[in-house]
Amino acid sequence: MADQSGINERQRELFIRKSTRVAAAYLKRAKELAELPDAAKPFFDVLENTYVNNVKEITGLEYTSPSDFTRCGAELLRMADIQKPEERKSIGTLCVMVPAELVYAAGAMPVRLCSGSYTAYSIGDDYIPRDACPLVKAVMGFGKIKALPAFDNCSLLVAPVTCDCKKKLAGTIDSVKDTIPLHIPPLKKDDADTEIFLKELYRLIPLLENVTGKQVTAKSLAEGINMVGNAQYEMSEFLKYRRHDLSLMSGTQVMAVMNAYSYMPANIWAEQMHRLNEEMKLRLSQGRFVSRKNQPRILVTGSPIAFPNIKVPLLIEEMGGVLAADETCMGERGLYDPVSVIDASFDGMMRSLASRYTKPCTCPVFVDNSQRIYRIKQMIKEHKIQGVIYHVLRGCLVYDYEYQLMEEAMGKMDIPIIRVESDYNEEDVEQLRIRIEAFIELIKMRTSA
Amino acid sequence: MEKHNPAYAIYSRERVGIYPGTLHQKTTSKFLFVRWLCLFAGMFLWTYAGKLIHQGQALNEISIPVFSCPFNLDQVAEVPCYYLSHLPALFGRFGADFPERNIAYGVLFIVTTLFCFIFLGRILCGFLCPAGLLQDLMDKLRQALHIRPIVVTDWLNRFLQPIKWVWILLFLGFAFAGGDFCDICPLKGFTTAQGGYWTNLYLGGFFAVVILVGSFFIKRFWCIICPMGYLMGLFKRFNLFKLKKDCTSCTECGACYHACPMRIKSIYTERDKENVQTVDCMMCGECIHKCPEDNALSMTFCGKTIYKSSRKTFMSKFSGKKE
Repeated sequence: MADQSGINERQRELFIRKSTRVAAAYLKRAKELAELPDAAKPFFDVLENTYVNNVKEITGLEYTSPSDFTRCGAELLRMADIQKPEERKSIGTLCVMVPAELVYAAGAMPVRLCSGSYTAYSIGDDYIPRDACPLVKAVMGFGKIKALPAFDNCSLLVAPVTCDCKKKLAGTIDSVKDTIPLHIPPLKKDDADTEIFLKELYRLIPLLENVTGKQVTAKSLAEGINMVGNAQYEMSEFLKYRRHDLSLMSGTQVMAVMNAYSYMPANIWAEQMHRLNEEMKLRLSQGRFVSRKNQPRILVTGSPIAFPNIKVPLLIEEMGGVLAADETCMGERGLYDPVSVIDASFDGMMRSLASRYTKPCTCPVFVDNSQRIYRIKQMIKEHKIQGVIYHVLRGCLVYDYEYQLMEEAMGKMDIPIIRVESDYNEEDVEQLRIRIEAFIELIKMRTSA
Repeated sequence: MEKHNPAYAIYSRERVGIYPGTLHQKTTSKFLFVRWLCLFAGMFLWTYAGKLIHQGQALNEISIPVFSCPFNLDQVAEVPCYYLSHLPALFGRFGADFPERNIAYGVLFIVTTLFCFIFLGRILCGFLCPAGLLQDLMDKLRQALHIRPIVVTDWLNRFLQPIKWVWILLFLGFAFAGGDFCDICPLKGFTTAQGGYWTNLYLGGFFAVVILVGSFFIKRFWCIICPMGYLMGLFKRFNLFKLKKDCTSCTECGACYHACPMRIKSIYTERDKENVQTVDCMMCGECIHKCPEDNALSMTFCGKTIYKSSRKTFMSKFSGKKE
């Protein structure tokens, strides 16, 4: 059975076998890194559901329907004490600029589709120019192969027009999935720019309502803001534990937890996060740390690190470093800034959303992004960072551009920084391993000297 | 027309009216509570308190610059706006107009005015001004009705600034040209009427309506164009109260800018200076209240921090009950 994309059944089967194997292998490696907190296990289950279990189920071409049950699994719902999981439609999103609050207000659930699948990347390679970034290829690959339920169940794709690759993706992926391009103003300091984005959000509302059949009202928007706000609250509590001198949880596992947020409803995520915070508190009181005192504390920043492409954080921790913080869009950045509602009218809430999703965003697609350097300086101070690893995906120009500025700023602070370039395959692992190992040794020498 | 297109959400989805408030955005702030207390106290002092202390103006050797009309004779202390807008009359204060009063009467007036101008500055606008309370109440009323405000964007701010300069010119110079600022003063009607005094408003009555409606839609509308407030702000360098920013903790989310009734933009764009107080800043503390970063914004009195932003306080409103 060949569809228009020219992918036949056998190819798909091969794809599913390979991609589930890779995802499962990475999950296993991340779990074995350090003692996984019990409360973090459900987050790993969600990733496993998304990338392994659900995918396996559809080999019989029986698609799982989009509901909180298929997203989270029975175990998590039981723990969250939810008898009747909500049947929410999925709205696919890319990047961090799509307001999740608005999607929840429309009665749907936003799913972040930025993926790190190597197998999907190789499919997408046929449709997207060679020099484009692998993340975009992976998204396109999933669009064509139709073997990721989280993707296929999305009724709509909201694609912010950010970097060049995402811009062209928004145009081309329209052939496999209904796509709404969301204009992001490249400048953000002027009120006129925020006004443009506000208009875009207002334009988005009826389009979302058409999909869900529910109305966005002031009440539902307020509920959406409260819901995502609660998730942000739990994360800000979690960050307090992450700032401890000795790690309470492996950084790669934290990134996986943050990544799981993309695939599960914010309220269930927040509830589980609450349990994780309690476990962190317990670990802190018992003194159960996963790192030792002389291990170098490292910050990862740069191009998105999306599951299952977590080789860089894995390598850092396997080579004896501590991944103390990350400034990437699949990690902390998406949830860090809260919505500050100044005026409780509908328009006031929309304005707060427009402002929150552009002004503090440290994505390098903005013309002036000096605030990212300030943010990293702040993180270095808070997390007591000793070295920065600057991750660049091949073809990710916007992040590569900012490396120079970052290097200068870090030089002034006397913090070593290294740029590692990687692609969506496992061929460069050994090379990355050597560089990261050398970098970690360098920091060890600096601190012991 | 966009306005009649049902798909155009900016018009069709607006929910005007009262609905059950579910937004968890309420955090208690001692600072703001004190500010409201002070505002009410200020209103009471400049409208009724004179009746209790002494029939007529009670302590009118002392002058405290707030925008309250001296035509209300129950003020607890003198307000310098009359003399600033009638500078020639200031000399009369030294004895020419009131033969029974001595020179100290005039000196004390000038000393207290200058003290307030230099050392307190616009914090009086935020904490004591009865006209400020009136505008804050209008804003609260609008919020209670969930009517959308008019947001003072860059463009609107540029439009309002020249109006401020015109007011300052009229405020200081109208008396020299033979006019009387009180005839056009929009605030003449408010405290005078509250105190039960009758006076002619002239053109001021018209402006009063403009200010009243304006402050319903724009928070502290009059303060943006207030001439006396601006004159007080000029001495910001010597103020005992200062607004400080820790630029390393700022994420430039712009919440302070949106919360600021005066729409001071530099507060969130500033990246080097510690002191972010501008001529317009009236120390209302709204920016600190809405700031989600630890210590990013703080207010100091004589170098001692009295109020600072805190992420914990900000986020605590979201911790709330699980629905």
